[in-house]
Amino acid sequence: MPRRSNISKKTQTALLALLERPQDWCYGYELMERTWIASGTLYPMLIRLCDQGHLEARWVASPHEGRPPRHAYRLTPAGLSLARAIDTDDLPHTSPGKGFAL
Amino acid sequence: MTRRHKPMVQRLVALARRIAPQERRSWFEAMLAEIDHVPRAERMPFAVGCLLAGCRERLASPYFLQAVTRSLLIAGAAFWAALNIRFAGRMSVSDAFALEAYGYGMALLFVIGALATAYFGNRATIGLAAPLLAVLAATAAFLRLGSAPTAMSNLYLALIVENIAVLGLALVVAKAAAHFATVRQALR
Repeated sequence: MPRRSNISKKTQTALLALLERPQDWCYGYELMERTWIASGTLYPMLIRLCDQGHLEARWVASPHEGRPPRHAYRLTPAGLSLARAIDTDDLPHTSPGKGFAL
Repeated sequence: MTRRHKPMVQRLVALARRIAPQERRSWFEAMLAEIDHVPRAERMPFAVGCLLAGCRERLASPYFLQAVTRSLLIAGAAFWAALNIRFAGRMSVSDAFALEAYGYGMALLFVIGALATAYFGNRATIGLAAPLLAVLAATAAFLRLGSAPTAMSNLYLALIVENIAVLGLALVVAKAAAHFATVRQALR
């Protein structure tokens, strides 16, 4: 029997979203839109992934004048391996309309 | 409406930043910066989510756990000292000098414990409670096994067992907090 991953479904969804364009830096709101994970869940998840070395974060200057720089995220090599090991069949389909808080 | 709405969401995320532990502040700066890029209609739930994330991070912080248990131990020790003083006061009325001295002595020890915990943290509770627990346990064993049971010795035994239970509880709380803080620190 294959060993089950101990990371949550939502974390797996976020990792897969980041895996779609592994070279690009992705913003928090962009990830929320793509995964339908609310900010109250997504940010603590990103913090953990960063702590564990699966994600790297940096400040990126906004292309729009007068707007503040944004925090952007990208998978590290360890995060890429973790994301590639996810079994996509197990994941529920993401759907909009869950709200953006939790 | 919009003019009032925008500062409100920013205030919520700023509050989340204040609630979050120091080592996580940069993440909440990131959320505050992100607000400008969230469509207006979605800003409020986004900000509420950030506030919940701030609370969650605060609760998960090992420093917060230590602070809560430290406050709990100090309050518990102060409460128990107050009960011992009340007991000693009652004994002074009935001229039971030894019991009065025991009550004040235990109250003093718990006050010292509370102050030491306030200054040095939970490890002071462990450092002070463990030897006191051993002394009280030895005294209780002596009273139970080394002398014939009398009404007075039974009363002393009951008082000592009471203090052993309180100290044991304090020791368990302090040790558990230290253990969980170490585990959480390792997970971060």
